[in-house]
Amino acid sequence: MRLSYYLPGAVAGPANVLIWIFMFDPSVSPFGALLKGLGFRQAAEVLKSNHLPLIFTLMVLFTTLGSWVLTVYTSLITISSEVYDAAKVDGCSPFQMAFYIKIPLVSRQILYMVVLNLAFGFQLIVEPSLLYGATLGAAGNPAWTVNQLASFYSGTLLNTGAAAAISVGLLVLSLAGVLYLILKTSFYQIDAEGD
Amino acid sequence: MATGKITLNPQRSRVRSSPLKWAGTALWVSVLLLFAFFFLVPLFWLLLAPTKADDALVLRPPLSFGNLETFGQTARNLLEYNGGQIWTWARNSIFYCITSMVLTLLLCIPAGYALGTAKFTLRRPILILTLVTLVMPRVVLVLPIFLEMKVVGLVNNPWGVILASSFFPAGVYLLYLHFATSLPKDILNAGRIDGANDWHLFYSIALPLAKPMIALVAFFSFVATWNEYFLVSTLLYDDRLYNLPIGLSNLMSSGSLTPALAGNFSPIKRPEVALAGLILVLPVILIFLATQRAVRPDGLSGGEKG
Repeated sequence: MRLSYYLPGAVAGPANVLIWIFMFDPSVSPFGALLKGLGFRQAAEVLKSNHLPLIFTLMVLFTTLGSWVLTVYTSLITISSEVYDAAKVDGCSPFQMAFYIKIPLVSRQILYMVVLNLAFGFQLIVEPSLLYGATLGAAGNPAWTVNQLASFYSGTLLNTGAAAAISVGLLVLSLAGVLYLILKTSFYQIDAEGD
Repeated sequence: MATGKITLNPQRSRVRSSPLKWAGTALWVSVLLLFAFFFLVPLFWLLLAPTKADDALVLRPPLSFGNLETFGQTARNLLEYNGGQIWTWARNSIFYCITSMVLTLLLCIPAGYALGTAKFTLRRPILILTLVTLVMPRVVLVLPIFLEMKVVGLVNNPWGVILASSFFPAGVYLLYLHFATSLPKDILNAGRIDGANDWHLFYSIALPLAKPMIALVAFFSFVATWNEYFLVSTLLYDDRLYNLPIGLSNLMSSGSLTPALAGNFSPIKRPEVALAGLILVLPVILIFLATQRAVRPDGLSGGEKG
């Protein structure tokens, strides 16, 4: 069971897009019955523009959830088992154990996860461009995300100036975001100390 | 309150069976199974697709096994495509990954250790910069990296990709977190009192204790480079230097996924592309299974007692 959660972590980028193009095609998908039940007959109907945010969320969730499980798991097993034993002896239920002991102890990793997932969201470029290419332009457009727009300007329109301008805009936005997280939240303590 | 009695193995001493508890367990198990289904079915489909011919993908049930003969044909179609180009891509992928993983570890471990255990000037700005580079969209860096590599003559050169992907702030940060929070300071101090110098402390104490985290960083680095798409597509334009992801996306974008398209006589159709996807995915799964053994708790408890 645990393994089945990790395995999709091996799937990224093009392979992920490939899999989900098939999964969203009612004629070949193992989820075909579900898709048909929802009223979809063709892949093009599923891959419509207003479905794309949900589709990319599913794609990213499919591959990243497992490695996050692994990260949190690794932190949990490096915590001394004496802590758990003490809690058990004090009559801690599994729920209390999770909410009052395990989650606070790995809160740093959980916030790290939030930061990185925001970063992934920001960096979405491979999936939308590939989905566009592989469906021969049926899904999305070459500038669906801002990142794509920047590389579209530099690659296709050879407008390096515009690409650089978008890049600087993105840089300012992400710098503001990350500096806020680092300096204004308790997540990032420069003087991190072990117990 | 639960039993309150002390047992040698508290994990096993669950309070047994009220109907409510069973309902709770049933709920958890079904949620877990639902997610397992979501994770496994697509992989299973990918595994089975190359055993069927293109039209059988539509006509046969999605999760059925075709036959080995068809699989052989699919494999031949893919492996012989364009003079065995996929072999070149696979060799490139392996070379980029291993070289970059070694460089990443050589850089990340000392950096994480220093940031996690020592106090020095510029430590705070370095940590902040590490996080900034972690979160920054990669497209922001694409122009600078390209121009940088152009200056040193590494555009369309494998080392451009290797060097750029050896820059791995996530590894530095994970190891920093590990050394700062999970490595007891008293163990280092005890070592110091026993006359160990800094190199000894690092090599004989910190490094062995960090093995699970190092394995994790090595694994993340390998997966990141194995799946590297952006750098390769920016820095390399010779298709003999491509890695598997770029190769796969070339196969995908050639119209092979839309068989209804008139004039598609290429031997590369949906089963062949699925097999290429499988070739890209399988090594990571195997390496994951191998490194999983390294990601185990090391007995730290009791290290500060006595």
